[in-house]
Amino acid sequence: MESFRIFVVEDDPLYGEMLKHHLSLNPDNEVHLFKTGQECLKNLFRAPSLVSLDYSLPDMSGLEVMKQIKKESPDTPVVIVSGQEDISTAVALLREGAYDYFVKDEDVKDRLWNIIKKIRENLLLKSEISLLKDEIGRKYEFRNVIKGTSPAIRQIFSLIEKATKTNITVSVTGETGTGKELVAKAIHYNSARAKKPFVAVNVSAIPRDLIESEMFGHEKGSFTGAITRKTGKFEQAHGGSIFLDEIGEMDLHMQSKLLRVIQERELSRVGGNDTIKIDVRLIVATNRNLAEEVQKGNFREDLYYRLLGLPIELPPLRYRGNDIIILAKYFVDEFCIENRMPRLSITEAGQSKLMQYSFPGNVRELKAVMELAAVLTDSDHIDEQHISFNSTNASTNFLLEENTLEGYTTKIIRFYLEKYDHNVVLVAKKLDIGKSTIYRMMKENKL
Amino acid sequence: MSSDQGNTSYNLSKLIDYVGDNPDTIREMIGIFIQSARELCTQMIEACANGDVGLVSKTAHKLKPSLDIFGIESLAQPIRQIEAAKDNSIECQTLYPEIMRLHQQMAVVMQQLNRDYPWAENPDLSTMA
Repeated sequence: MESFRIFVVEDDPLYGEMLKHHLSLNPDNEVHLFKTGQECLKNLFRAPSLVSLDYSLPDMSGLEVMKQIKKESPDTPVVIVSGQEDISTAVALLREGAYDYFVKDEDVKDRLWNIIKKIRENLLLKSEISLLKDEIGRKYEFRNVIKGTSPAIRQIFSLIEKATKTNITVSVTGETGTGKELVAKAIHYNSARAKKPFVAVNVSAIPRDLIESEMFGHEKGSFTGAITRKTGKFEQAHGGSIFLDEIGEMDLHMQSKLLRVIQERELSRVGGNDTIKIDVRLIVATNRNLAEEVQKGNFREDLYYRLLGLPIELPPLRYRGNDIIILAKYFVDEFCIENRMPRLSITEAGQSKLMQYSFPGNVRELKAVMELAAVLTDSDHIDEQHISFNSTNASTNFLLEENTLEGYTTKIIRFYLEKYDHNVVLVAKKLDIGKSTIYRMMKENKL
Repeated sequence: MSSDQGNTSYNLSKLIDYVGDNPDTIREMIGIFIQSARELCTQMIEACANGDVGLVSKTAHKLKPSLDIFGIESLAQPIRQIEAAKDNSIECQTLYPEIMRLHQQMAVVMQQLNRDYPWAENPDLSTMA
């Protein structure tokens, strides 16, 4: 840990030198003595960890010096040391942000010693938190968490990268299990807001009556059961990002409140009169088609456009071709490491079985399937008999979409194109259709 | 710690508690004390002579912690009375004898310190001895 820099601002030469000597007894302390307020202020660029400030200085009052310190370096703790005990002065100084106030007596050194100990502990904690945040950032480096090399996923990487460079609202869509929250975290932890909070809210999981209080907080006594003041998710996310999952489930009343908060960048807690400024990056996700919900009158159009921002549509796993195998191997490796098992490989037959399945539960389902397979095998490899699919019938799910015939055709061709690395000749052969049909659909931007 | 070379009106135990018992440091602190206390005493007498009770109280306020640290118990009360003079609306005329007594006692303490810690006021001379 770097040295703890202490400024002693004291015009009494004896007291100043004594404090300097005393505090320097700890070699980790770097003590600077200043006889005037101006001298101290001129040296603030040295970033002191603590300022011990005499209340009555020849050029400025301790209060003036402290105010200036707080203005230039708000986090620096300032301890006021006064020759006289004066409760009203002490209260005023503490209100202005003094860390402590005490009278010049024999206890000063012990009290300063204790304060230094506390501040050092706090600094240590802060540095540990910062290290942990860095670690989380590395953990969510998006190429580490979102696996795959398919064109569809490379396009997602490119969009995530763009999202990290600005504060634009991001709307993530995709089927269940495609990794919407993972994308939200990847954006947050790779952005300039990485060291600030990431707060995730599943809108559909919060009862309708509580959602406003959960999102914006409430004041004590604002409703039955509000026994204390509570800060909401938006306040908690101040400076960072808020991820609103299942935004499509939000009712119209709440939508209008959210719209106001997004527009004004301020909120009021339930039952409160004060407005609180907020600075949050918004990331929303849904598996619904919000444009359709707008048409049906279930979603406010103005909010829809506010939230659209940078749209990121996550491809279903079945459209990601060989990513299925990359992810399957990754999940098996992770599972083996976590459970201290020897590494397992996946046989050709096993891989083929995986590639033929539609994975309606997407990546989440693949993970569960591979973990089960790793448990079921008794050898050093996973074969087709270890892979079992328990989700509802894929083809039934596919048909439940209520698509048009052309829509189904497009989906089928797109699925095969992803699966066979956009090899049009091979796909045409597999589906027994003409290459020109595929080229025509590509030209019409249907694929 | 008080000197065993004769009677002393001071007690350095609080000072040692602060800065440790390194003789050089003690000597350095005594030098600083003598110099600043002498200046403050002179300032106090001048302020009193000029009828500026506010400055008298302020100067006493500055001197008080040093007297406490040097354990000069005989001056603990007088310095506080002088410090409170402005608040108690005591006039300089009334205060003057009290200040002079304090000054005389301070002179005695300084003599004792100079006796017990030679060269404290001018440590450079110690190398010539």
